[in-house]
Amino acid sequence: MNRLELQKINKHYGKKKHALCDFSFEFTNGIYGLLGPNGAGKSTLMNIISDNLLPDKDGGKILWNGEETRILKEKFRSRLGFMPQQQNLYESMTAHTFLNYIAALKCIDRKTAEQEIPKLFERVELSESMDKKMGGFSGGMKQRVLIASALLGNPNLIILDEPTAGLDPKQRVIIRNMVSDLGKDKIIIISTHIVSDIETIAKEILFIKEGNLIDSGTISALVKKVENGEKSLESLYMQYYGEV
Amino acid sequence: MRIIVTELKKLFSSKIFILIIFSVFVLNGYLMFRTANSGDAKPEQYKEVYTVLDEMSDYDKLQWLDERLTEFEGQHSYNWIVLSELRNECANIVGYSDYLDSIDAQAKSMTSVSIFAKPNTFNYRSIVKTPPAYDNVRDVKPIFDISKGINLAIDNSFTDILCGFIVLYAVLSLMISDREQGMSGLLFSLKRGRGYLLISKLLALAITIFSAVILIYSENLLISSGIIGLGDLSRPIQSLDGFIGCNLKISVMQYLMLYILFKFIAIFSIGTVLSLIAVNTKNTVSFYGISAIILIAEGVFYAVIHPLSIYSIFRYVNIIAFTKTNEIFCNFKNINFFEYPIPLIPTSTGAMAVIMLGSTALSAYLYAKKRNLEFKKIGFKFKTFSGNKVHSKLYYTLYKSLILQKGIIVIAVFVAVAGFMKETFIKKYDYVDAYYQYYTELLEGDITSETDDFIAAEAQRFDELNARAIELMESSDIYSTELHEIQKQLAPSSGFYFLKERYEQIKDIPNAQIFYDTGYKRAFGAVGYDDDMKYALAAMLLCNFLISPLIANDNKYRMKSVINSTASGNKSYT
Repeated sequence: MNRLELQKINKHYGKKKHALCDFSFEFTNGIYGLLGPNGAGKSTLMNIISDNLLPDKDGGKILWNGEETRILKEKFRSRLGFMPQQQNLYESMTAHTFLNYIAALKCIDRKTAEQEIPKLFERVELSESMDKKMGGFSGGMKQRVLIASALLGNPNLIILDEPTAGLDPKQRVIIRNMVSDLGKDKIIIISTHIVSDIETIAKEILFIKEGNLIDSGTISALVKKVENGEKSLESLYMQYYGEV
Repeated sequence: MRIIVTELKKLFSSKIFILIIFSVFVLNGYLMFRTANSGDAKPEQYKEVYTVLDEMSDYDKLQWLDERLTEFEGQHSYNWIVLSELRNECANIVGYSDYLDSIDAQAKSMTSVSIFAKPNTFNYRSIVKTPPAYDNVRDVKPIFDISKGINLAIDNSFTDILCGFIVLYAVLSLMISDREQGMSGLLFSLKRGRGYLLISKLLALAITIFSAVILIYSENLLISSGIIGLGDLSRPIQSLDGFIGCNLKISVMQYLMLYILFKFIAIFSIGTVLSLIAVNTKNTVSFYGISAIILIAEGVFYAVIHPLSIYSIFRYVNIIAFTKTNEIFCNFKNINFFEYPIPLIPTSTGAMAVIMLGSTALSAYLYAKKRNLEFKKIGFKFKTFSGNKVHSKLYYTLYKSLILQKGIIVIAVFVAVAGFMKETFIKKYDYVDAYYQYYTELLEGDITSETDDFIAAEAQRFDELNARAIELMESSDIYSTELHEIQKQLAPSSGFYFLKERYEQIKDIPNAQIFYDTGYKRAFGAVGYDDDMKYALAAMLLCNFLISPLIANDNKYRMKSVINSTASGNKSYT
């Protein structure tokens, strides 16, 4: 069983912007959905977990299976699969070369990488395009390459920042099913503001507002909190973040 | 290794980088040919003399050169400058043992002279150290052979400058493009995405620089070999013109290998310093600014500090000085390190290693520590450049071209090359133009009655001299002293007639002035030189390098469709 503990994480941007306020949570194997509008602090949290940002000085700590990630450094990153929220990839590189490069950076040996990469492309339905340059890829294809790069090396902790952005409905279903299969023996944290992406697969949902964890729990427990209208996650989302 | 290979693939997949390498190769070749032909003597004239000297012993060569130099020019077809230059070179080689003895004698005499005799001074200590430094070359026998070719290949600062631009682009591409493309977030989250990745990038940079150095300096050697020849490469390095004072017991071939290796290390040291700056700057403008400040400061230290000054450490332990390989090896030198002499070669080598390894280690450490993944592309703080202010279309086009597309590097290349060419420009001697310059400068300014009088009087004087000369020649007294004297007096007439022609053309134009206008004629192609074509080609290249990436980039990001749909439209944008 893997365990990721966030203990009182604080992050300021400059003096005024408090992006994360005393954020604490414990993740165990399973899929977690991180919900919140733009600017709520989801990406900041993702970047802190993925070692792309440091919390404030004395701004809390992150423990991976009981050990501080700040001390584990490479050992922690070797167990991590991160898909950032971006649309840029090396345009003149083929998707296959890109995954080979990521495999080298993840210390995956050549033989394992050679076996694993074609399978990953098959899973994200990019087998036919894997030897094409990524400059000609659509936004959805780039997203799928990034998902494949996050899954490479069979990591124990997968962080997906807006994984379904730019994907068509069919692709979203494929990714959703794939993530659902993976969530049995790993921690998967998905940041999104598309409720339908996670409401059928997530073990727990975390609602973030202005850097604070305002609510969390299983979907069945959360929907009970809906005060008006249909008992759904979307209604709760509207309740927390205001109706349009 | 896989990471290094991928970094190299990323770098070499850039069309701009390939274009830069190609341009550097072509420009370097052109400048080599130009330098080879820019002196007072042509390469063929050197080759002609070398061919005659080929089979002789060094003493016979010296004797032959002395004989030719004492003959009248009309008795042989060789260029006097070539003969004189080669004679000096040959005399140095023949007198090599005397040269070594003179070092000993000089040291003895200088240590006995009171001004140098103070034992706690740099001069004294340095003089004492010098003769033993030559002990291992006392049995060396230099051989006279073609030096001009090797010197042409290894003594070109423009090659260093051009290599510098390859390094600059490679550093930008390897160290900054990941951040610019927003890839750092992903890379930083990977096991080897930090210090290890940075070291891999630096190794890729080293491979790139090594390949560039091999390519460009091989080009130099090939061109020199074709134009003049390289001579026997197994001869001692002391045989090479300018290297008589070298205290290394190596052959010319070994020196060439050492030269290329040293050049590579020197340029790579600069690359590591630039990488350190790139890793720690928040935006490209800061990178350009800090790099320029450091390189200019180092250049100023190198140019301003005297070699024997107490501050000479700043002159020699300097990334610009490291690239001056010949200066380091051509002679035994000591650096004045707080009045203690330290030999230049090991000091330079050690300093380069420290800078290279220090910059690498520091870059890797800082890269591993980095967390602020978002890289500000441009961070102008000046009010006038505020991002909120709307500027003109031209402003944004220039911004895209010069900053985003790094066109500023292209301009810097052209400015540097132009500056170098200006500094090294030697006007070909043309006696007609020299007299023309004399007269134009004498009469510079408005055309007055004094100008009219002077031209009339001078024309009359030359007419009279011409008439007398014809008279003497018709009397068959062509060897007379008077005719010889008249011919000497008539020499300026060639330039004068050009001035007179110019005077006739402009004398009736209001406010017309006389001035030395040969430069304008050359620049605009009014005379036979092809300078105007060269400038036009350079300007075309510059425009091409600046505009092509701009258009290519707009196409790449499909910006044209956005631009075409605006009120300005494609026409206004173009």
